[in-house]
Amino acid sequence: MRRFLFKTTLWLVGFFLILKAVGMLDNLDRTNENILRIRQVGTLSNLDVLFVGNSYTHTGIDPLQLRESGLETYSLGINAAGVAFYRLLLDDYTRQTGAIPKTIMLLVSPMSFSRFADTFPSIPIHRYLYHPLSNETVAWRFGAPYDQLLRRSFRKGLANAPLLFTAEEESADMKEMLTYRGFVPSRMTFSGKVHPEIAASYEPLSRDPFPMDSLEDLQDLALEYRNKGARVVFYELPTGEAPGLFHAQFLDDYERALADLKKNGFEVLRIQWDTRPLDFRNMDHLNSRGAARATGAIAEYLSEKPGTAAGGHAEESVR
Amino acid sequence: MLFNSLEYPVFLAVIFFLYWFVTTGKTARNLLLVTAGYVFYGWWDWRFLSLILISTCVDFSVGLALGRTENKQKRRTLLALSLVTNLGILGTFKYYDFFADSFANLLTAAGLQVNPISLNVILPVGISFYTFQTLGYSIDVYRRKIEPTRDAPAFFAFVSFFPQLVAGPIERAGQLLPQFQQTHTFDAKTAREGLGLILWGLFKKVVIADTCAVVANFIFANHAAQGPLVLAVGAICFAFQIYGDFSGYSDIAIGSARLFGFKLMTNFRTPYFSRDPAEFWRRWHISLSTWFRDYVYIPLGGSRGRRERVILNVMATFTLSGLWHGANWTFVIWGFLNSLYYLPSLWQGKKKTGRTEETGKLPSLDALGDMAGTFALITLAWVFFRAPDLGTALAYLSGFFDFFIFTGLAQLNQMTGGSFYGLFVLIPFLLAVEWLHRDQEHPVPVDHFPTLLRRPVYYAMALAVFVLMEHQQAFIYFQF
Repeated sequence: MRRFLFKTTLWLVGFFLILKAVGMLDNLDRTNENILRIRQVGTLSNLDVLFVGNSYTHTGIDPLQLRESGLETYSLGINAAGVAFYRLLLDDYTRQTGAIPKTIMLLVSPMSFSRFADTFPSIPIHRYLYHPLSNETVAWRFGAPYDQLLRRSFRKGLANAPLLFTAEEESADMKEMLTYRGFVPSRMTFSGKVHPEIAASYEPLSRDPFPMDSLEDLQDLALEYRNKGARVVFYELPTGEAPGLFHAQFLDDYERALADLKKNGFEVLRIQWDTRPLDFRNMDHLNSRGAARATGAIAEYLSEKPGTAAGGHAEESVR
Repeated sequence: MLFNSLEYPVFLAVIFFLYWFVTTGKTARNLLLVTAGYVFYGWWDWRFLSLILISTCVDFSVGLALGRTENKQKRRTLLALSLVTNLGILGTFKYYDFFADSFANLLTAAGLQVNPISLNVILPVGISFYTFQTLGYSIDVYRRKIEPTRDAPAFFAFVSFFPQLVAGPIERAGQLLPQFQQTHTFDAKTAREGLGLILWGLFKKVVIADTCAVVANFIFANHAAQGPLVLAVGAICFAFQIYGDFSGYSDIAIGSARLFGFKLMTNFRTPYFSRDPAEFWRRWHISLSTWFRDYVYIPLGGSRGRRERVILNVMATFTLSGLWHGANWTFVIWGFLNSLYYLPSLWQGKKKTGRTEETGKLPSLDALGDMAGTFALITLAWVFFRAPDLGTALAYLSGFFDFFIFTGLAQLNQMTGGSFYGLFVLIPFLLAVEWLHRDQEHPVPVDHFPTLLRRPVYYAMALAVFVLMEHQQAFIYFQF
């Protein structure tokens, strides 16, 4: 029995080690836009404004447009980012550059509080950081499903293994993204009709409650960076049809959450205008035209309200 | 709890530890196995534990009572009590709505308007398996084939033994019950074989069957847009899906049981190498086939008597076996079709066993032709088994007569996310392993390899299972 148990345990340990060893190659990929963004922003220690958010950010904020206003900016929009991703991205950035951006813009939207936010198994951002975190750490800290993280890392590692021996070229799209400092311009225009399959994939959102604990985590994060000397602004971009995916109670709670942020002395910038499909590339992401308007509104806000790190600003609505 | 979930290995390890290190003596161990069985089943829905409990209590009591009386009338009444209870539960939960709806449709066709009362109950997982197992006990005691047991923990453990509780093998009391009445000692070789079987079973289910399922599901869902060749691919994929799925389950069940020192019966013996449908039925789902043979076919008269009577017996047995699988006319037709396949062999007088094992290293052309023909017939019948209703099955089959043979073939791999091409490796691999080990009771492909070669293969299999386990697909036979 003892021998059997010993051999079985040894076998399982071997199995786990193979999983881990191959999984360690999961971030070798040089054509992954999330990895490239994180690597690029980690070289910029003199940022005036760092935009952190999800895909709404990387399609909706154009840093080169803000440069015209004299602001060094980066659009760190990572797909599916929520509060946990924001935390990891900011901590990794400050650790890598040793600097704190003068202004940190944190995206708020119903989607960044939804079940589609902070999905570590599909976007394992912790593995893409300058200082990657292990799957174990993320499973422990954020309750991410460990088996799925292991599986994802193993698969990705297996696919990346040949990269150990080959040089990989960044694609033209990736080069463009780096030129635009994280921004992904799109000239596509939304048809105005949501494909039934896409609508169906978002259907679970209509049942979810608003996660109050995420709001607390967001406030803690903002407070921490404000205490470190950064000006923290919450910003909201137009999201077209997306609010319709949530139920009324969720949206009410979301509005209360924004009011809460304001009440606690944070700046909340809500960029709104009478949006048309022409401003979007799909159901909820801005296209180049929409991004130009949104970025313009932010530039205007930042120039009009230079602000201080201590915060204490009221909600602003830019139309 | 699914065998292909991450909970199962944890559950198995806990029970293994408690069984060998904490409990001593057969009663304590049997009580542990009963608890494990109830937890395993209750993981799915604890409410239906009451049904297992009722069946177990009734059959245990019927067994005791049968042992105390020689009165024929009383014995018949006791057997009837077991039959009514078990088949009543099965009928209510599995067949009531089907028969009520079918009857109402018949009356409607005759011009009478009726509104059948539907129960709309959930079908309890594995109800057909444990019901048949416990029912078999009462029948065997009634026939005096076995002595009734007075050991309640052993009997309860026999009915609720978690490795085979929800999808078999449907064990005979005479074979399994005595194993609960002895104290097992740990045997490392048996346990190691058990682990190997579990891994091979998982590989067959998660890697082979679930990959086949992607292709089969796509083709069955879009059969109207496919040409004959793709429809054939769909049917073949389902044939391997159901084989990998069910024989995989059986392997995991047999392997899990071995960890506790139990030996379960063989449920599959390389059925797709059968050279005629009769041989197929001696190799496919053996525990159910032999159950129907012993408790339905032989009591009906078996192969004795006039030819018409034998034909009727065969047809009745196969049709009932079809109905056992599910409350749907597709299963009835599937069973009936197989009875038609089976009939010729009754009079051909072919040798009944060992034909596949006796074949040389490679099959002769004659043998290969027989196997291919049998496989084609069986696969054709699977279309009824897989289709959601008769209309779909007939529409699927009518597609075989389409003129444009290759329609849909070019897009198939793309539409199935690369699974189609994967099958060109997986299915030949499965067939090769089965062929090379066709004379073994429970083949594990690399068991006889030298350690240096065996370990990497086991690791590769385990990694493939782990990676592909992401989208857990329930075992097909759970629904029966």
